[in-house]
Amino acid sequence: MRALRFAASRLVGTLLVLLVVVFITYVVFYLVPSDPAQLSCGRPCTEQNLALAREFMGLDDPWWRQFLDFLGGIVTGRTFGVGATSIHCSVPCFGYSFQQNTDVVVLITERLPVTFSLGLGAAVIWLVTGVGAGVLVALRRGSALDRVTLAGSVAGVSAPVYLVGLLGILVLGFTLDVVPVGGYVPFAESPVDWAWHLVLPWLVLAFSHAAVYVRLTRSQMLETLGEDYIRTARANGLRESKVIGKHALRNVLLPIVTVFGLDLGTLLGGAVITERVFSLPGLGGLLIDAVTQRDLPLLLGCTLFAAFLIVLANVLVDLCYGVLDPRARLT
Amino acid sequence: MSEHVGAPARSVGAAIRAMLRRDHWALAGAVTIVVLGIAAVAADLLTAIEGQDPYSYSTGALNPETGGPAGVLGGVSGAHWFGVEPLTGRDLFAIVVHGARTSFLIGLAATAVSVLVGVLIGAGAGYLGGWYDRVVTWTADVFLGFPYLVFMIALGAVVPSSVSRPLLLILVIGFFGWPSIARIVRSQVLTLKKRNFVSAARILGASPWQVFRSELLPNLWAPVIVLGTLSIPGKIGLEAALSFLGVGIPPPTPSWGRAISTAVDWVSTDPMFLFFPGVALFLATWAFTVFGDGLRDALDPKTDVRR
Repeated sequence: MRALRFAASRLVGTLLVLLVVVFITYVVFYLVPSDPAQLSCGRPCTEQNLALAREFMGLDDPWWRQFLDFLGGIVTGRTFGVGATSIHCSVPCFGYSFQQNTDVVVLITERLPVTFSLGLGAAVIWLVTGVGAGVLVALRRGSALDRVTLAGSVAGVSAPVYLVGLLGILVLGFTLDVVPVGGYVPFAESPVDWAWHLVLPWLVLAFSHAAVYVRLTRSQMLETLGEDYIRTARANGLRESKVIGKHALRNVLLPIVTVFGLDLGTLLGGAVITERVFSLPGLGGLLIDAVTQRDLPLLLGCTLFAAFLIVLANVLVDLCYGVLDPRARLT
Repeated sequence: MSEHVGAPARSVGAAIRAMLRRDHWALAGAVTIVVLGIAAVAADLLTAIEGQDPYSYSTGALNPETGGPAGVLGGVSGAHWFGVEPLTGRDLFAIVVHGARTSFLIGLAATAVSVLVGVLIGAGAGYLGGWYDRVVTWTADVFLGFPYLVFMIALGAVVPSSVSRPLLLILVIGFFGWPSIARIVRSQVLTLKKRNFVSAARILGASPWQVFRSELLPNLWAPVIVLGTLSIPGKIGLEAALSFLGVGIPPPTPSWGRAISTAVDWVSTDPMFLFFPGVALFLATWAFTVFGDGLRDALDPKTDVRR
């Protein structure tokens, strides 16, 4: 019962956050003086055509009415216009791109595999290397390896991902010519080519993130190793591998899970830049296309999807906390 | 650790001076910040000494066949210290130092906005408590869950170009930074307001604003300075990233991010065009990061990252 109520309150809170994000985005996008009808009205754009386009897109309604229509469309779908020329946007309708003549949901799901391949592959690399290196240098505190890794991690934190990416392209792609510098091959087509084309983007995205994890893991590990319960574990004669691997690491992982959740949530933002550098046809590319074409429904859809990712990541973090830390369960 | 205990820090200024004597990384960061800061402030003077400006085209410095710079190393010469931009022949040194002005202006002004809004909202929430506190905490949570980068990219596209881009960037980047500052300030104020000197001021009849100004604020400087400094590199990087994606600073105003974005197409034929703005951007974010790390170690010994 308690668990159920907890889950329900979390669900309500999550939906509320999403609703606020949609609301803010909607209001900002539709109140700034740029007219979506003007943008998708053909040339020559007469007053009459413009009025027709407005009516067709539902832009002649007051803004709150448009907002409610948008929300309603998610549950029931929407139909723009009437008769033979009408356009139907099927459930769940998160908007319709009049410029590409496609549901926003379709556009997003088409591009999703690329961004997911990029993000999840990089996440695996940066988690393993970042946390691994952080634990290693914490155990060898003050050594040459520790100092070099720390200096390198500060550099990694400071270097923007596109700079690292261009450097990678320059060195590994053009000069040494060992890996492809762009393009995407779907996993279903050839898993080997898929991975091979993504090696450089993965390494680049992972490098920028791993630096943060090294610093975090190291400081957290050092703090944990000073705790009484670690001393107790050692005094009880536990092997060092067990003290570190079982007792210390569990505590170290808690803040890392939090940061990882934040990173997963903002993956889309980071992917925009990486995809531009490596010309990958993912969600980032879709967003940039929407920007250059001023495709407002698509922009709104992308922003909403990004918010959904963040909220989803937060829920995952909560679940992980429950597994890692029994005190955090059901609170 | 013993070094910290042995260094009594009475004021924020004294703590910073002690840190710069002790911490070579932070000193290197501070020197880099000062050098880049001077370049930003004296950009006009420096380019006048060089005899160039960031806006004039000089196609004579280009290789007519490729459109890239004539000569070696991206056209580095006595007349063009960092070479020239491909296709336009604009002076790269002038672009880099004027780009420093853009980056510093936006990074520092946006941080000022974040700090101002964050401190006021956070201190109010911590001190006043009640429903106001709950609203602030909840709003901060929503903001932290807001896809701000995607939102900023989209906003850059829909806001008409008549709105000043630097101002828009400062306000938007600054505004999205308040929740993290407000959270820390709120928790600091929650502990501070239980202390005797705050209670005493309140019992003597000080208004909330007076308590904030003379009792709370002096005790908030250290964490706020640390947080503010550590958030500068992120803000400089954000401006560069938005300009890189084409929704930040519009041409012809020099910006490191946009220069790097142009350099993408030239990376194999003219890598020096990537090198100069890239190194400048890297140095700026690196310098503020190591300086901020040093500040945190000096002012807040609990969160010691480096030693």
